[in-house]
Amino acid sequence: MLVHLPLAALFLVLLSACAGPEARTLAASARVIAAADKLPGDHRELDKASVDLRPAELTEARIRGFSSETISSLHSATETAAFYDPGAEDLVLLQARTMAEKIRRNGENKKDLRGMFMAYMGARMFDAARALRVRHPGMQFPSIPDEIDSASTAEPGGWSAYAISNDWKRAELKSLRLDRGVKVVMVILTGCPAAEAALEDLLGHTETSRTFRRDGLILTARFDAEGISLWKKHFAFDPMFIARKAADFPGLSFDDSPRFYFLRDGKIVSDFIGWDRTPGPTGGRARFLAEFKRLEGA
Amino acid sequence: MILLKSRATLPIVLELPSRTEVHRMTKKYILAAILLPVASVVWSQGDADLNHSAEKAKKMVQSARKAQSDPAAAKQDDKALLNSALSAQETDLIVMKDLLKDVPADERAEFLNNLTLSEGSLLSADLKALRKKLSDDQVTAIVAALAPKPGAKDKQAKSKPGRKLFLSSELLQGVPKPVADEFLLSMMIHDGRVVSADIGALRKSVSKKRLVEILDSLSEAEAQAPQRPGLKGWCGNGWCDDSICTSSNQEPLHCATKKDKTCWSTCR
Repeated sequence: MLVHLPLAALFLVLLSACAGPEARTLAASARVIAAADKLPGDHRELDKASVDLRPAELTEARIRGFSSETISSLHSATETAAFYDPGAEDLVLLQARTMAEKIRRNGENKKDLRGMFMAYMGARMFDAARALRVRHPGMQFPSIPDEIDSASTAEPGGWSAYAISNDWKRAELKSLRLDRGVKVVMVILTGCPAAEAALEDLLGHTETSRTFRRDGLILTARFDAEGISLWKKHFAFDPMFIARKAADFPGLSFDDSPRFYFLRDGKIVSDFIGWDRTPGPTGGRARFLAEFKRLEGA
Repeated sequence: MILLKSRATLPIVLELPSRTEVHRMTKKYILAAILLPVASVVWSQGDADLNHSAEKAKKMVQSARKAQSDPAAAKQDDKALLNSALSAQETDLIVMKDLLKDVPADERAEFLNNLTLSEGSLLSADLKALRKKLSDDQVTAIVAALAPKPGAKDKQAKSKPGRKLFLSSELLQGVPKPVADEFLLSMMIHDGRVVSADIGALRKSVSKKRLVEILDSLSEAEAQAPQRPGLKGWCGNGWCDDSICTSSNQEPLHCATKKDKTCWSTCR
C-alpha cells in the first residue's frame, strides 16, 4: 500500500506537467485577464500571470495549431499584458504573432490593429508602428513624430526620456539627470483632467508656480507627442518629457495621474497622488509646499 | 522497472508487487489519475451549483415569508439597502452595475436607457421601471446615490447657453443593445456626474468617429483646455482613453491607467 502513494503522486505530477501547451496557454491567458481586471493597484499578480504566457515558447508554428478560441484568448491576454508592461518586447512580439494568426483566420479587426500600434509605441518599436501604419493607410492611428532620435548620448537607465519639439514632429532622447539636487517630478497621463486641473492650480499661484518652474518637470510613459506639445503650449511649461522605459526611472510608477515625486539626488524622499483644489491646509498646493519644504530639509 | 531493480537494496520494502502486478497497477493509476481530478471537479462544481441554488431558494423563501408575515422586517431590509446605497455615496464613486445589482434585468435596462444627461451630468431619471419592482425606499436609495452632494455644483464647469439635453438611449442610438447596456452599466458616477465608463465593447462595435461623438457628448461643455485632437490622439475634448477615474486610498479623484476605460473631465 505504501508504494502505491508515491506512484499515484508521480503519475499526477507527470499528467499535469504533460498538460498540452494549448490548455496551459488558455489557462495562463485567463489568469492574465483576471489579474488585469483587478487593476488599478498592485501589478504583482499580473506580472506573475504574464510570465506564465511563456512568449518564447509560443512560436508561429505552435500558435497555428491552436483553436480559434485559444488564439482569441491569447491575443487578448498578450495585448493586456503588453499594455500594462509596455517595456516587454517579447509580449509585444507575441501579440503580433497572435494578431497575424487572427487575421489569417478571420480577417482584419480595427481594434486589434489599434491595439498593436499602441503596443509598438509602448515598447518604443517605432519602425514597427510606422510599418503598420503604412500597411493600413485607411486606419486612423494616433499620431507619431516624423523624426525620433533614440540614438543620443542618454545612458541606459540614466533617466532617459524623449523631449518633444513644439510642433511635435520631432522627439529626441535626453538624460534628465534627476540624480543631481532637488527635483519634483509630476507624473501624468496626457489629457488626464485631474492632472490638467492640478497643473492649472499649481502654475496659477505664485509660490507653487515659482517652485515648480524652477525644480519641476512633467513626465509621462505614454508616447503621446501631440498631447505633450499641446500641454507645453497651453501651460507655457517646457520641461515635459516622455519616458523611454519605465525601468529607466526606478521607484516611479506611471499608473496614476497626477502623481508627484519629490527627489533629492535621485532618491525619492516622498510622493503623493491626486490634487485637491480646495484652498487651505488640506489642499493640493499646501501639500505640495509642505512636501517640498521637507525635501529641502532632507 | 526501477522498483524491481531496487528491490534488493530497499531496506524497508516489505513486499513488492511482481512485474505484471506493477504493470496492472500502473494502468489502474493512470486511469485513477485521469478520472479522479475530473470527478472531483464535476463533483465540486455540482456541489457549488447545488449549494448556490439552495442558498438562493432559501433566501427567496425567507424573504417571501418575511414580507407576508412580518412587513416590518421586510421594511427593515429596504432600510438596510437604503443605508448601503447611502454609505456607497460616502465613498464618492458609484458604479451603475453595483448600484442596480438587485434590479431585474428588464427594468434595469429600461431605467438606464431613460436617463437624461447633459454635459456629463445626470439631470433626471425615469423611475417608472424601478417602481415596478422595487419599494419606495429602494428607489429613493438609488436616486440618492446618483444625486450630487451639497456643494458639488461648485466643482462643475459652467455650462453654455442653449445647453443640450439628451436621453441615454438617444446617445447610444444605433449601438447594439447588449453593448449599449454594458456601457451604461459600467458608468461610474461621482457627485451626479459621469466620470468613467468601459468603452471596450463600444470600441469594437462602432466607428471611431461615432465613439468620439458619444464620448464628446458626455463631456462638459467647458471641456478642459488644452483642446485635444480627438480622432488622432489618446484623448478627446474632455475625456481620456485607457484610463479610469479612481480615488483609492482616500486620494483625491484622479485618473489611473486602465485598459478600455475612459476618464472624463468631470473626474476632478
